[in-house]
Amino acid sequence: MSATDIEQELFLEAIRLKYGYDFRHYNRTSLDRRLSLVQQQFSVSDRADLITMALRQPDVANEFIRQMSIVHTDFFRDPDTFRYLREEVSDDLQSYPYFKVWHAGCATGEEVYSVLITLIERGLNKRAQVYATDFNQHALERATQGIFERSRWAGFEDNYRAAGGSASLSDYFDFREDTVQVRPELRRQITFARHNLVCDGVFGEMNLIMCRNVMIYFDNDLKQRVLHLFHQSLAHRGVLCIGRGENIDLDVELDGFSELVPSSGLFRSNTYLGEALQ
Amino acid sequence: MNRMDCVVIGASSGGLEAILRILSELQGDFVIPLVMVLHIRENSDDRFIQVLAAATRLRVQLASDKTCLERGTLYVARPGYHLHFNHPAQLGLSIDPPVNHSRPSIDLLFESAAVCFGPHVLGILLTGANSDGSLGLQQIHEQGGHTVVQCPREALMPEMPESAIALDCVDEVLTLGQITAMLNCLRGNDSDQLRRGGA
Repeated sequence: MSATDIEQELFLEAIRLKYGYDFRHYNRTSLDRRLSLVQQQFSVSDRADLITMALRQPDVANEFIRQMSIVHTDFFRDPDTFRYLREEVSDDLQSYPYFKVWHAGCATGEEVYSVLITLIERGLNKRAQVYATDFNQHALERATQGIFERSRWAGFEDNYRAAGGSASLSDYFDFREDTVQVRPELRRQITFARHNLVCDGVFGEMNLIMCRNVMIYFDNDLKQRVLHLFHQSLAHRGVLCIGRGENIDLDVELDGFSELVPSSGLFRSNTYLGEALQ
Repeated sequence: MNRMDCVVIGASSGGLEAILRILSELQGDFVIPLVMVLHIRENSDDRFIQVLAAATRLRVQLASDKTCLERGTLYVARPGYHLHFNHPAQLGLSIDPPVNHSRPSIDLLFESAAVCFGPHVLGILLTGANSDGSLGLQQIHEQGGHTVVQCPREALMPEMPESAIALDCVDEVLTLGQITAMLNCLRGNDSDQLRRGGA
């Protein structure tokens, strides 16, 4: 093991023992990059010093934990996937009088609001219970507020139209000088909660689980655990939506999932939950 | 030159044409994995992959998360994702914020290549109208890898190679023709060595 690897390992162990967050099964390349950013921010040239600082100064540890959930996504990112959600998946959900959606790893909320808007435009939101979870309190607070920079608006609208949006995206937002905010009646329809995919359990019984571009930050072991967790959290014939750059057919032994639409990131669970538990 | 286990390429404006020229003259039995970041709009469709695939006998694919590196394959970064090495045998993706206004960013790919391959990677930076890639190329250079930029006079947009040259981290400044000739010589590295390197 190189000295750099050992320092990284010790840092993660310090964060786990002191603050209870376990990042040991996160992707090391992304992790290393974030550690470098935190080092820059606090002007620490030596990574070994960062370990002591994180133990003594909660603000250093908090900044690292905050960095770990910084991603950059958009409303209706990958419009084709949202088109499938609007069409195929919503056709499916329509057959239920009541259904549950879990957006796991919602970060700042762009995508879970996109799912909600899709459900609204298919007239399904009244039958839906939508949960959005993240391990990071800071990200959850931002998602709950639903405030975004106005400079990003044109991109949101382009995606919305490409995803087959049937109304006007601006109807769902309040506009301020530099920001846009999701309207309160939409924000109220989502239950935001803390859930850590690394250590928390089944969240069931879901008809649709969205978890896009989250498992790319995990190593193979943690990814397998999370896929298993999703499988157990899905109702019979429930749908799992992952990022288009991700794969599950290669790693999942259980023939529990089948691809719903080729290379869309949409998979259907084939096993009835009751059967899996017997 | 050292044994090369991987070739990483970065290109921006004018890059598609440049890489097509290299591919069209690259021998079909080139075995070393090629990994490339080409700056492209986030919502671009996959048609540029078909254009690349048509120009070469190598396998060309959009890089997916946790893909294992295989011989004779060109991996291309997906629009809207950063591409990096998880370890020498495996690629990974992230949706971290754009770096140098770009996602994918050439710097991120090159930096991870420097960490994973040390002296056994060849970094090539082609035409572009920004400075993405130069810091990554510098890291490859510092770890003992070999660094090449396209001759700025030949490049459609000279800024990218020039900004790497300004960092004093470039081993060779070459035309596209010379870059291809160099790659075709690399195939002398036999597959046993590659397998050891990628294990």
